[in-house]
Amino acid sequence: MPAARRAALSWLEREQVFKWLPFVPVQALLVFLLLPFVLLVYLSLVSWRITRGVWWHAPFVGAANFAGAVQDERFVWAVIRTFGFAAAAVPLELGLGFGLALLCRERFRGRRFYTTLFLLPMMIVPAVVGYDLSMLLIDQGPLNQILSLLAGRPVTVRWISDYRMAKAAIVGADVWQWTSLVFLIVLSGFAGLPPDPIRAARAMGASRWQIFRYVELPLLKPVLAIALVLRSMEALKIFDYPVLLTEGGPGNSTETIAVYLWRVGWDFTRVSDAAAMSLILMVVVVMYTVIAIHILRRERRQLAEEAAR
Amino acid sequence: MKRRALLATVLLVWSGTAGAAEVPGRTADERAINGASLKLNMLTSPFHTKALEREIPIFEKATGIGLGDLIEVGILQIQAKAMAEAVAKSGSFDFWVGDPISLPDTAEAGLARPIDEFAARGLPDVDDVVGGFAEQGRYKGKTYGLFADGDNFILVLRKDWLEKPDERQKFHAKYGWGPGCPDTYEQWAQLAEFFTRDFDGDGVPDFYGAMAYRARSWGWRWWLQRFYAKGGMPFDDAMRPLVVGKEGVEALRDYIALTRYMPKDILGWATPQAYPFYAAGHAFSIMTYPSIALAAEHPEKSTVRGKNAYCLVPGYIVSGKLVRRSIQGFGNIFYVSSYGKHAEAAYWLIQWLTSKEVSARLVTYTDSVFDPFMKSHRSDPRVIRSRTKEMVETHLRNAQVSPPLILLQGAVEYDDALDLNIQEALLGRISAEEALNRTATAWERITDQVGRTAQIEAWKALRRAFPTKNVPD
Repeated sequence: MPAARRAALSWLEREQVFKWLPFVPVQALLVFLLLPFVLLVYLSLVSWRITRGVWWHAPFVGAANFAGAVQDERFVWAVIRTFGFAAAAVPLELGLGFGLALLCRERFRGRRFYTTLFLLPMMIVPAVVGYDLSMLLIDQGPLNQILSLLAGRPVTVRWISDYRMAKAAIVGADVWQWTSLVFLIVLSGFAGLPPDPIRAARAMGASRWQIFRYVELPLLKPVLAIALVLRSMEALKIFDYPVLLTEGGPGNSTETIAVYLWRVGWDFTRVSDAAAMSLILMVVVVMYTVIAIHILRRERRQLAEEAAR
Repeated sequence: MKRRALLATVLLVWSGTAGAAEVPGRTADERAINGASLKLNMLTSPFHTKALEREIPIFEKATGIGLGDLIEVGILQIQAKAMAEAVAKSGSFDFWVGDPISLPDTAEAGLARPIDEFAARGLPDVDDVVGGFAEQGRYKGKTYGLFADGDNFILVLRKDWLEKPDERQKFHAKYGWGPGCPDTYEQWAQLAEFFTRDFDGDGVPDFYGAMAYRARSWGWRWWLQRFYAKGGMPFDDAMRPLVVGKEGVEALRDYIALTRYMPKDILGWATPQAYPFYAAGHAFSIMTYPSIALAAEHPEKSTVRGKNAYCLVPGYIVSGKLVRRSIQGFGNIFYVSSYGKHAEAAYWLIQWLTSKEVSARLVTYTDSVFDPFMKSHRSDPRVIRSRTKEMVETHLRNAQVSPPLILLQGAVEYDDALDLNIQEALLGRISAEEALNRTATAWERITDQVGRTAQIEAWKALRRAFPTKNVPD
């Protein structure tokens, strides 16, 4: 063995080196993530537009961009609206996804077909969904024609041009596409349920409803909590449907925070303002996530305690 | 045996690849010429892809300069993509097709590259470009792009309905003039009112008197055209907004009033919805981009082919004189990126694409939306065949009174503020006065943020691009 290789191996085998070596990729990843974050914080503290020279020469303005953001009515409304969309869409997705998973948990003829069918929407690119819906949802389009056939009278719901219905269309698009994910998560949850408590309950004469209500549902709580957290965080980033379906309109009725940030940063070239808004949003989302994780942990703890008893 | 088959396959594939790499030519110098190639990357919206994909290979065959990566984004997302490139400086595209609105920002950000040095040598066909179009590729005294798409609005009416004797008689009896191309917006509103029909009596019209765009990010252009025809100007010499005057408010009220003769869903429609709707025969009139002719005269897809009257845009009577303004509602320009690797090659390609001959072919294709913008297009038989002589004549006459959009730094933000407030007024959530007051407040803020002094200079320069005649010759 050459001397150089021997020396390298002996260096690698030293305890201090060996102990820290596996963490190098983690540290690298941290630096990789940290750098853009530091840059974001820096940009939020200076006044820079893309049209105004290089960013490192931009004047320092302190918290002015943050003050401007919270005074910007459009930003505040975009935040409120986005949480509103999430609050409307996520429970629907959870309910529908759970219901579909419940239907598909037992073996029956055609189960694989239905499972695949229910999973299909989430495999379509959201931009494609947005564009297709923009054609399907016009007031004389296919959806209203189908509704007219069912209702037996002309239905002319203005899905994309009415102030309220446009919001419903955005929520509907999100529900249509992402119920699949909840379905998948809950179906996996059902598949992973431990059989013993269920068998025990059955042996003790519990009805199907009682088994579902008092055994399966509590066991599924962590899974549902994960679905809730995942979908909520994704729903807060909703972007494709408002842009492709309504351009944030009519008025600004469907302008979400992601759409507004994109406009401020890239269309209006006000990168520093967008950076400050992003950080404010990040704090809000982190707070929400911390609360959600706390609830998730509590559920798990309770479950563990009940199992121990 | 298996190993032998595998080896044979590998050898075959390798020899095939090596064979494909061989450049044709009898001698070394011939092969060198034939082998020289350069791929340029392009950013464009899907509205232009097919025509460009058809034409660029012809240039490649002659020069070896062809199309590499094609980056397609939505037509309203070009600015955002361009600004992202201005920050990233990645050189991901060598040239792009964008609107004049984005020029001030992309030029200030260093992305749009001045092309005067190339143009001085190449002598592009700018003299053949109609009216002030060529000016829209210039900013602060430099040329940044070559104009490729005359997008000033045109009004189209259903000629077959206008020619029905009983309709003519009833219309004349009601309004006191024979129905035809309207001179004023008031006359257009009368036509729209008269021809809106509810055939089955269910309370929902089956035939709409008027169409124009009212969707978010689009509708403001149609208001601005009216505002200009009223004699309005967006700013004074100190860049103080002038929209909150009599002209602005009246223009907005008229704009809102006409909407009652349009499909109820019009607030969500742009080109993909509006063109097929008109071509399917559901509306009497439409004020839109000139590419409507491609849809309306389409041999297979249109039910109204040959039934259209192409009109000068209507105007308003200002101080006793008719003033028509046909706004450059979008327009497309070929720009060269400062960060692409092959700026000069990109320039030669865009000069070729905007030449008299090639541009005539581009405006002829029915699956892309390049509109006539050169004097020579007026008499080009290919252009006339795809759009009708009447349309091309009228469109290029409209271009004589075509004012530019607000081509200043921060243009997209100025437009967005206007658009948002106009839609709020259209939805009945605020009054016309309130909408324009809010717009003025937002514009003041934007001007101060961008820098008032710089904006005043740019605005003074832009004022020169406004038409001086009230009506076309």
